[in-house]
Amino acid sequence: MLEVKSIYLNRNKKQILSNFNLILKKKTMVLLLGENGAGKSSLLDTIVGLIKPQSGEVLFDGQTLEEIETQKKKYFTYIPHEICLRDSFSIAENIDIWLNLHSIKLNTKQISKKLEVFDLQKIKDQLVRNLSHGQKKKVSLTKLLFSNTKLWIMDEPINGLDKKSVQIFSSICTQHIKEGGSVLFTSHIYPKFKITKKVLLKKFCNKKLYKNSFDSWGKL
Amino acid sequence: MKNFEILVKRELKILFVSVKHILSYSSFFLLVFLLFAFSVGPNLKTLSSIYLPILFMIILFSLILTSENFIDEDFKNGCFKELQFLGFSPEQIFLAKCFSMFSSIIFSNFFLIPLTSLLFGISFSATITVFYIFLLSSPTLVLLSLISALFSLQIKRNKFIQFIIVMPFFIPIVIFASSTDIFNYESSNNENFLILFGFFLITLPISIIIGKLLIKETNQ
Repeated sequence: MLEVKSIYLNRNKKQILSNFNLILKKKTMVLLLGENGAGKSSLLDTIVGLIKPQSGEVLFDGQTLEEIETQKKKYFTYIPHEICLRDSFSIAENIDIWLNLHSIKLNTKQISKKLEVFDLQKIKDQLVRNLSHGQKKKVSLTKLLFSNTKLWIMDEPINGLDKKSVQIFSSICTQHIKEGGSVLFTSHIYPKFKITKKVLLKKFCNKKLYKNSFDSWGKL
Repeated sequence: MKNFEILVKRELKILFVSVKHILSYSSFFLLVFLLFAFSVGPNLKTLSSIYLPILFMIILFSLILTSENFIDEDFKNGCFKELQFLGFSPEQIFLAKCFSMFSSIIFSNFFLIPLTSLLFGISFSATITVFYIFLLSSPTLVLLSLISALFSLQIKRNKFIQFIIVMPFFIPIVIFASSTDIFNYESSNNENFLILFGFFLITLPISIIIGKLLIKETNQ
């Protein structure tokens, strides 16, 4: 589904990634664990093609990023750590804009049903600027429920979420995996739900802190 | 082409749902025009002779000051990034932004030009000529002011440098636009229309290339 082959990435004259490899198969959830500044966001930005690495390639279903350039939204859904919502618009209007960008057509009832998952239906007409950070994050994650892609990529999705919302997030991901999808996400804290594989971005991490909680070292 | 259509729809929706772009442009435009009218005095002959230079200087400064609104929010909230990883090319994003900005000034000036013409004692036929000049020169001004706004994102919000870099390119357009004899345009000065159109044809490809590079640079 996703293959990251020997990525070398430099930013601001510093080496962020060196010979980084990752294979994400169907029905798996992979967590990239690392401290602040470990290069998690840079890695995801490289995977989705926002940053060009010095060398290496990223393959989605065997196809390079260049080959799927204009069709990226059919291959994966990416939720970056930025909120990606317009402050002066309501939750419903923001979702509507996002659906239009993805050419997804749903009726009001279907949208309301999805908004209920994170308990956003009651506040759907509130302006985003009046929401708390956690609520904005929930709106951002709700986009996953509307997506048709098999691969979900998320940058720090559980950052700022309350316990209940983390559980909801976990169940959404589990359901997605059961349906044949895959999830790749980053975090600087160790989440308490079942994850297929954890990759620790080693170089910048405190080994004792994450002892026994990872399966493989991300080569950096 | 379909991707571009989706983007333009998004931009127009943003423009007309939250009318703050149109309002900030119109209010600045009207305020400065009134200040000029009061400072020159009630002599209609003097007012009508300086109408065109004043109009284009105000259009220019209104555009430069409001152009950031079209870029800034999308940049801060991550929507710029989102559009790129969804597969929309930087050229498409730049052109969609230009289209939105052009629509906003067309919409505003449709009311503002006749209103200010009345104030400065300009005849109806001369007002029509002003519209022609405006339609030919404004696309170039929009392209340049958006480049200027993108530059300001790159140079850490230093507006002074932004003015210095882009300002010289505005001058020829303002010269040819304001030197047209609007009261006697049929007999002379028709070449100004062609020159303004020529400027647009030259500016369009150059701005697309620079806009693309600047948008790509925002990810670094």
